[in-house]
Amino acid sequence: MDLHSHSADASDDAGGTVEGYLKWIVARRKRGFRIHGFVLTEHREFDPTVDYSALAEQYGVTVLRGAELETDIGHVLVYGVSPELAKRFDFSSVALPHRELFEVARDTGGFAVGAHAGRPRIGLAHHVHERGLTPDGIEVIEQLNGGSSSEENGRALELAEEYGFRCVGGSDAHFVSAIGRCLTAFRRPITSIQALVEELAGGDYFPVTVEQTQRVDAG
Amino acid sequence: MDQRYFEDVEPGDEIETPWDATPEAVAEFMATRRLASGLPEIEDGPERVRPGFERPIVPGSMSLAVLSRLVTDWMGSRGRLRSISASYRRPVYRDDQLRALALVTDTEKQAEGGGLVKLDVYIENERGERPLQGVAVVELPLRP
Repeated sequence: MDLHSHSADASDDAGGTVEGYLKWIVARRKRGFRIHGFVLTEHREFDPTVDYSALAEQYGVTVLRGAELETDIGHVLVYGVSPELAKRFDFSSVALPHRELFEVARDTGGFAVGAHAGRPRIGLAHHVHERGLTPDGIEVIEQLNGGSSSEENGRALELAEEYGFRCVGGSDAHFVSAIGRCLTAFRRPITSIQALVEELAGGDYFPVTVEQTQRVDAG
Repeated sequence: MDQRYFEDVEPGDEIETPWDATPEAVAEFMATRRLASGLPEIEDGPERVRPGFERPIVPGSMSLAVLSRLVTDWMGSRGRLRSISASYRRPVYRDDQLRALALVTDTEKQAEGGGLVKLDVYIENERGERPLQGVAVVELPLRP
């Protein structure tokens, strides 16, 4: 699963459409890459009325929805956004209090992950190493991010090793051809946001590049 | 320039060209831009390091021009570039090893003849970063 993506529907810096992503994934599967689906994590918003299930079914790709929010320790991916969570925080804020966000997300049936953790200014490593912040309440970081350089992803890996974080991967796709470049491998299929939250909280997973998913017997 | 036809294109096709953004090339672009736009001369030349940047950067309009040229060279004289847009995500540093790339992401035959091709376009540096990413839509003719 690609745990981090943006679409032109709701992220003003994205050019990829949801249907474009779906077509691209179908084309990638034909070339032997294993991409089960993706999570749309639009910037600073979550619209509960949006529903891509018909489109997802048409292409046979799982499409789930979360949000990418901005906090005092950088960007945070939130999965399982409940009405209660949305009521507690102003998602449009660019400086949400991270401790409360991680805690309330868990308490309301969701799960929060530190996004592109190695990125300057908007990733957790910067705030830990440059500002001396203690990453309390954080269990999982996005170590492998498709929009980050290998150096930045390396910085995130060092942070994960230093603090014992579990790691996920996501493409951070804003354009069609980027979807699925980085993913998270789970031991069981993820078909709902609840299953994703359960797996993130206690499951067994690791980040992978799309090249690592390719079937060796594919033409 | 070879003509590209709609039938010859499929999602996944990739176009790539190295781009050497030398100080001379940047200076030439800036001079041409001044002539074309009639805007006054910009005081900072291609060697100047602007505040907040590590090294001299390439003008954003030049990066987009390079991507546009990549696509128009590929499509041929009977092709038509309907639109191109890009998001500037990081600075393009002048002395980086740069590549301009385009990747066909979708094709759609048109009822009135010809076909539309969507391409992701981007600049990539040697660190694997994509400082500029965007989308181009091209109209290609059918084979005669």
